[in-house]
Amino acid sequence: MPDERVESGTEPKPRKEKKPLIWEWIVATVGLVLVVSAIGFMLYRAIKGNASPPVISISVDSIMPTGDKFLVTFRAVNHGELTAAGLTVEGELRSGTQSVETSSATLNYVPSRSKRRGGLFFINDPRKFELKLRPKGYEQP
Amino acid sequence: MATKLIANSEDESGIDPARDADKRFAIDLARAFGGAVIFSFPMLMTMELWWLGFYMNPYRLALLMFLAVPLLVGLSFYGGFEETMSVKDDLLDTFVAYAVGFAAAALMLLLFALIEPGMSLDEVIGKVAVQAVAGSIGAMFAQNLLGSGAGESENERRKRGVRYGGQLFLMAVGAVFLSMSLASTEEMVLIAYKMTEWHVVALSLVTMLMMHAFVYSVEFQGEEQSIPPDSPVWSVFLRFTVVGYAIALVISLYVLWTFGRTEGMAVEEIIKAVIVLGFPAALGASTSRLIL
Repeated sequence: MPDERVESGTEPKPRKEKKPLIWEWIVATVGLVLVVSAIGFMLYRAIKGNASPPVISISVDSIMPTGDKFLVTFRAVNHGELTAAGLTVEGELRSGTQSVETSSATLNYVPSRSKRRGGLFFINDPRKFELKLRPKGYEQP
Repeated sequence: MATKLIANSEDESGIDPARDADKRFAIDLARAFGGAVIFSFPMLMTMELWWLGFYMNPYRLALLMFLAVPLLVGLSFYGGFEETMSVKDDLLDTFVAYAVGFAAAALMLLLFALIEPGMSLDEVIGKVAVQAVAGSIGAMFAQNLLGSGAGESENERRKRGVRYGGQLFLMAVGAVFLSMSLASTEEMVLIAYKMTEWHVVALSLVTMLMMHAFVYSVEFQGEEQSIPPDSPVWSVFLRFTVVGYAIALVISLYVLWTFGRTEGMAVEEIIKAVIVLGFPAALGASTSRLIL
């Protein structure tokens, strides 16, 4: 017998007690709860169905000069239930009805009810104009 | 019966057996955690899988998580944590592995800044759940690879593994594992698009040839053989290589479907992608006995 153990590359230390420990039960229960709740959550999401399309709202976080340009940082929040991939965000500086400058950025993914941040560079100072941010389009992943 | 076992262990070891067992379980958990991380690295560090967490079909993710349970029970039967005596023990091991898989996935995703404030519950749960499946298989694998083994029961396990059904099961596990690490990437479909029909035929022939070589070297290496050494080549080829390849292809299709890679594809392109993914899956299938 000892030879066989050496051959199979295991410690020659046989285990005697077979009864599962209380810790094992606790960890296994945690695992069971996690699995059941994750599956339950997925099924809930699936059954609720009728996923609403991405509803994107964009708000300005900050405007600051960076080098010879100006940076507008923004956050995009998806209030819908479908993920928007490759979301294009366009920022426009307007003076009255006239468009002064536009800039755009692409956000890789904006999942449902999540937020993502990005930034737009402008040559003109956005604080001197009317700044408008809007989502332009996305791809369905 | 439980009290009797405790009494037995107290008789035979000098140190406090309860504390010793606690310590051993803690070591097992740490080892399982390491295994979960090592085996799920290719998935943890693949961006398509982070994204799949939030956009993959929730039914398919739920099904994947559910199907992982019998897979883990089977793995526990052929290895796993503590030697298992009953289905109850295997289930216990399964959920321990799942708990470790969840913990490893959540911790690594946090460390990689892939889980951050501002992300919705959907996104976080989805991301962790996908990774937890691979992590739990890794946790179970770790016990086989790095495990401390368990004397006599090790031989018992090996005997189980040698039976034909067990062989096929282990092949399936190997295929699941390798195909899951690769199926999520854009490349599987891209390679399929690039290949002509001739490439596909050549790839499937090469796959079977390599599988057959692995089946032979694995089967006739160890002391326990499920194939008698004098069995004809065609018999081994049909019973192991061809069946193993079929298993690998079915699993490739399932995994591609689960990850939404078959969406909107023509049947011909799906078949190509299945054969492309079938290559790593088949090699995983034929080498899984080396690991387990």
